[in-house]
Amino acid sequence: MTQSRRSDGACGLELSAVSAVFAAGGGCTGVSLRVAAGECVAVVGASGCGKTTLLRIAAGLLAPQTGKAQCIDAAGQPLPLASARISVCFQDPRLLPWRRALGNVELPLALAGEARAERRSRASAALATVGLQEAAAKRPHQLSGGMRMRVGLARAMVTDPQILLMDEPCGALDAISRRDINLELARLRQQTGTTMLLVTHAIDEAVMLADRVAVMGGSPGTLWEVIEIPPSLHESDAANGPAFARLCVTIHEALVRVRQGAP
Amino acid sequence: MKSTAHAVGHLLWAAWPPLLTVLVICVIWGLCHYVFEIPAYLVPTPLAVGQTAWESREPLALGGLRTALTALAGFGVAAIGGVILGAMMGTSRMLTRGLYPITTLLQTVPLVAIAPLLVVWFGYGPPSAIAAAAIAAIFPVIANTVDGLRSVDPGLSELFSQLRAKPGQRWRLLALPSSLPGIITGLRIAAGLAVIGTLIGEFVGGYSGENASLGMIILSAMRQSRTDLVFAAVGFAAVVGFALFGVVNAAGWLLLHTWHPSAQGGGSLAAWK
Repeated sequence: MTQSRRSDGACGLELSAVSAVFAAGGGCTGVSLRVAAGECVAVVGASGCGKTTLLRIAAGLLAPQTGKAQCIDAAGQPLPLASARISVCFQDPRLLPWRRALGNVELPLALAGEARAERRSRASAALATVGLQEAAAKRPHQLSGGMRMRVGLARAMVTDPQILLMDEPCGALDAISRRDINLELARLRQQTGTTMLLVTHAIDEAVMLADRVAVMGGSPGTLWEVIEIPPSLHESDAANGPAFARLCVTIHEALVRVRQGAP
Repeated sequence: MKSTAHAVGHLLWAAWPPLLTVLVICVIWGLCHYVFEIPAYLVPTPLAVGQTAWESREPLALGGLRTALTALAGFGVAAIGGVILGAMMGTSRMLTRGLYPITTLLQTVPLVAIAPLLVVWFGYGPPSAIAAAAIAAIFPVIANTVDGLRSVDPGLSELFSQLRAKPGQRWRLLALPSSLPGIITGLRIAAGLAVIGTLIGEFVGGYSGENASLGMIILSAMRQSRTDLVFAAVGFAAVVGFALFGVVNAAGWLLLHTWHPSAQGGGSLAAWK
């Protein structure tokens, strides 16, 4: 399913049999995963099964030992990873403590050499999308955990990324903040059609946001199965319905099977 | 206006306990003098020291000013040189391996042993004292700059990699602000050491007579067994050191108070009270 409404060429992601195994243990091996332009794929699995490693390979922060990570255009043709605008939301928001919220959101634009006025207005707009325009002048230590995460999300979105990679963006948040951010992400997706790869522990989050859920397991981790999510479950009140709950149970059972080693 | 009144109030609040301590020490000191009949050439009474300080206020103040300017110049050389050297070492492993042992060696050789050499190289008067102050003060600046640069948050470093930051941008926007608290700590220690270095430099190569600085005043007072003048001059030297330390502290606060816990009075130690 391609939802992209981008004018500047939507971009997907293709991981072909990538491996990165560490001497200290962990990592992933032989993972092939294709995220079409405009699609959102969630990766679930137990701790230490290589989810974050997979994300770092996709972000170009880690070169795979074998296999290949590349982008694909809307027609499925391969492009080098460096040619796409990729943003990453890390597990912790990673804000610069000496910069105000607005300055943190401006950072990617400043590094790209944007003019001051331009980056200020774009950063303000990005802060407004995550509902934080009032906190623009605050420094990270003056913000709550949920607000910091939202500043991180605004920083990821300010460059209008073609691909957004998220590593447990809500891992450290309380249930209400998590729900807020999830709704925010769902809305952003509706608006921009950004391609997303979401690493998460929360099954409901995966079902709510993703078109497909990839289940990983083992150490070093491999991809065990991919579960399709019907688009009807992304509607605003679907999360309270029985179909949503059934799918969550299906994914949970898959995770249990993976842990017992029987796909 | 309100903030000025607040600042004065804060200063008084901060100043009265140490002032009280000094007063108590003076009283005990005076009493000991009276009870044990200590001769004045060994230890003068606090009153005699105060009287001498007042009578010699002009040469002492002028000498203090000379010493302060010399210490400030030496501190400046140490601050700029230390941050540059520390930055070079913090960036390159090879340079660290080459330079760090040498600076450590410089730190362990007693300054009094090399001070005569400095007089040979830089001549009598302020230049050799500035060099002595810089040598005394540079090590903590280098060490803390290197430490600060090495302790850049790896998560932020990865963020800058992901955002494809150029080396210059990484320096300006990440490494420098990250290491600022460390650099400030190094400068605080350096401020006190610069005054000590200046006095040693002046002992060995200072001018005497009309242009005497505090070091020379102390030395010539000693030769004349004017212990009261030695005490008074040492008091002035302490004021010089305190003032330099205060300036560095204030600058550090201005740079850090908006974001760093050490300047917000709320570091982890606050929880221990």
